[in-house]
Amino acid sequence: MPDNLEELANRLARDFTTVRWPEPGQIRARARRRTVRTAAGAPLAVILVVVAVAWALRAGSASPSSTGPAAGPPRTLPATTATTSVDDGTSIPIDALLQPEDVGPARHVENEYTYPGGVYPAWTFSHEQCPAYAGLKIRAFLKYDFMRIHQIAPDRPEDFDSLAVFVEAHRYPDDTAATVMGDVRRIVAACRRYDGGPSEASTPERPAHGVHTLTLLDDAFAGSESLLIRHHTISVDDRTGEQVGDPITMIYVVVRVNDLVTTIGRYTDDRAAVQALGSRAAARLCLAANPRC
Amino acid sequence: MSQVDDFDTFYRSSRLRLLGFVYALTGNLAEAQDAVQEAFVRAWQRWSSIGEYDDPESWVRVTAARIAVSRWRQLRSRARAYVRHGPPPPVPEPGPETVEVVRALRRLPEEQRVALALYYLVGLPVADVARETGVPVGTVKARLARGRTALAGLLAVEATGAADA
Repeated sequence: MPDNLEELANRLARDFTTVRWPEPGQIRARARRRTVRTAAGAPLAVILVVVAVAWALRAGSASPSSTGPAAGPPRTLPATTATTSVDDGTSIPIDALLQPEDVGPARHVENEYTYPGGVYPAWTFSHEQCPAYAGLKIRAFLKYDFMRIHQIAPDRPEDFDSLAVFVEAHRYPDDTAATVMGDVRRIVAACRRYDGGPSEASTPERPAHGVHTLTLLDDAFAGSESLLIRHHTISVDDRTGEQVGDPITMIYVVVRVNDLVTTIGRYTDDRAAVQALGSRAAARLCLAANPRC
Repeated sequence: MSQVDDFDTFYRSSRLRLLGFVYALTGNLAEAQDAVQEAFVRAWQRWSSIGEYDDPESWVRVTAARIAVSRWRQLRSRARAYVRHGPPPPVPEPGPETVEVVRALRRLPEEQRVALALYYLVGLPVADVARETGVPVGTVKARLARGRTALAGLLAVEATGAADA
């Protein structure tokens, strides 16, 4: 069996010889440009540094190997992934998240990861490009005690884009879970429609920008609280105003059961299908919520 | 050797190995390549420190893996990349046997997948896998053994399925 893996190493080296790479000078230039932009955006950078330091401090107190690389060069190497081996009562068992049998036949779990508190800085609703986002001062999602993620993939790889379901769950202390739900509502209300920004969207050949639309489709249908959200993205040609390419639509269902919050997303416009997943997810969260239900 | 020469040599000599590792974790070559390039960008921004490390590749590997996983999980990443850059450029597809093994790897629990990738694809000794994943050597050995067994089972099932088809 190791033959499979040893062969894989050889095959990867062979398969990837035709991959085109930027010249090292281009990599260094990207880093330089970013440094210049960072300097220009100093006030935002200050905020980010403060947050990064907070993560680093939290991570440092939680685990000596969990300092995030984005927070600066670590003195000790951070672990490749953040896995908790000790259950301090905050962990979330995998069965508390949506499972393949909840979604449909011929599916499996893949890319599962767990993170102790303070390690994972991003979340699904980080719409930083929305002009109103920064003013909302969204912070509660960072306070999670434990995070578990995986995706439920169809057995047929060619169906991945249309059928894959992305699942994550967080456990929060005290009343933070309710605050997180409130934050999601605030983001959807404040970022109902926004331009992704011309500088980011432009390419030399076709200057274009993204237009994002967030819509609250339904709420209060499962668990202690629940939200059904549609995120629609189109690309618009700067010069003509015409839509470029196909739109992308994702439906999210966010469900809270006491101190647990799960977010489930799928690239689809079938709201009923995703909403049904939310109800099944709520039943699973009950297994691990504090207090139980 | 100047810092620039030092970095350029490091980039050229380690990028393929890093790409293989991240691809094995995520199963998406375009995402893996993007994550590896981003990790090198961040490495150059800190090269005065990272270049002095005994093993700078470890830093880039950890950074790239986290970026890749983060992107995989950032559900908006595809939409964001699309509106930024348009449809992704064509990336050479790995061969079917490669895809088959990586698909099976992705079905393993996280800790087994990472241990197998570090040991077999990056070529780290067990002690270094233990250091990089923050667990005892015995745990790494157990993860490798369990991962190998599980992978063999998954590949056998796929082979049976293909034969039956």
